[in-house]
Amino acid sequence: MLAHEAAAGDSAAFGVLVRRHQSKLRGFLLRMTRGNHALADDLAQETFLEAFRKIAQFGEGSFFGWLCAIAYSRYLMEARKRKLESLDETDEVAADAPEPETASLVRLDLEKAMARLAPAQRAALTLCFALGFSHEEAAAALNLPLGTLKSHVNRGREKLATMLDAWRIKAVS
Amino acid sequence: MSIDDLLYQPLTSVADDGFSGRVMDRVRASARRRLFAIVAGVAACVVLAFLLLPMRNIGTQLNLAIVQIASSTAVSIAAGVIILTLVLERQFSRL
Repeated sequence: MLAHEAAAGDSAAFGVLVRRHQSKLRGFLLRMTRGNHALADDLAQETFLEAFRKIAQFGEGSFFGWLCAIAYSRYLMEARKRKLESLDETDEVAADAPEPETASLVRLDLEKAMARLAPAQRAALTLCFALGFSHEEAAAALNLPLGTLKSHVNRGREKLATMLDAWRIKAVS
Repeated sequence: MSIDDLLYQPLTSVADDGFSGRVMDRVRASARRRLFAIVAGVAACVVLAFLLLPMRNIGTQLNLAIVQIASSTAVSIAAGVIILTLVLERQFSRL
């Protein structure tokens, strides 16, 4: 409803959409950029601007899903341009990961492990679990075939479990 | 805590801290630029039309056409019918 009002030229309606979705979108991009706040905010701003320019193209369905599709494609472009990370696999950990004082240790472990996954796996897991997308919605947002999306979810989940188990064993010993 | 419980945890909430305001400033600036580009484009087309088209001849032809239309019986009848229909429609709607 608000999206249709915004498409009709009501910038106040678009402002409401920005305020409503900014936290989740920035959270998603923060995870995608492995904790880089400045880059995540830049990408979120560009995402909202592109959404405003193309709002007439938004049809039915979830507006946030549509935003995530724009955000993910922007992220991929930026990652290729800046050579932020390999888009397949990576072993690097975010340099500016959340501090233990401000985030729980468990969440910190999760974020560290997430940072080691390939971007497509990270995005698939975040959309399907933390953001509650169905597999179909996540596949549409990431512009992937449904089978590929499910494979990213399964492989990412397995890798996370292996990494977290290994860290737990190391911490105990 | 199982891996699924961990994954289902919602993302860390990010405070607005003026972010929405900054986005809307850029949105408004972008809309202004787009409007300016449209107005400039239309103005350029109008100026080009004035420069390239034979406006005097067009003006004369237009005047002639208006006079012909105004003096046409068929057009007068059509205008009369439209006015009559509007008047009757108002009268009926009051009843």
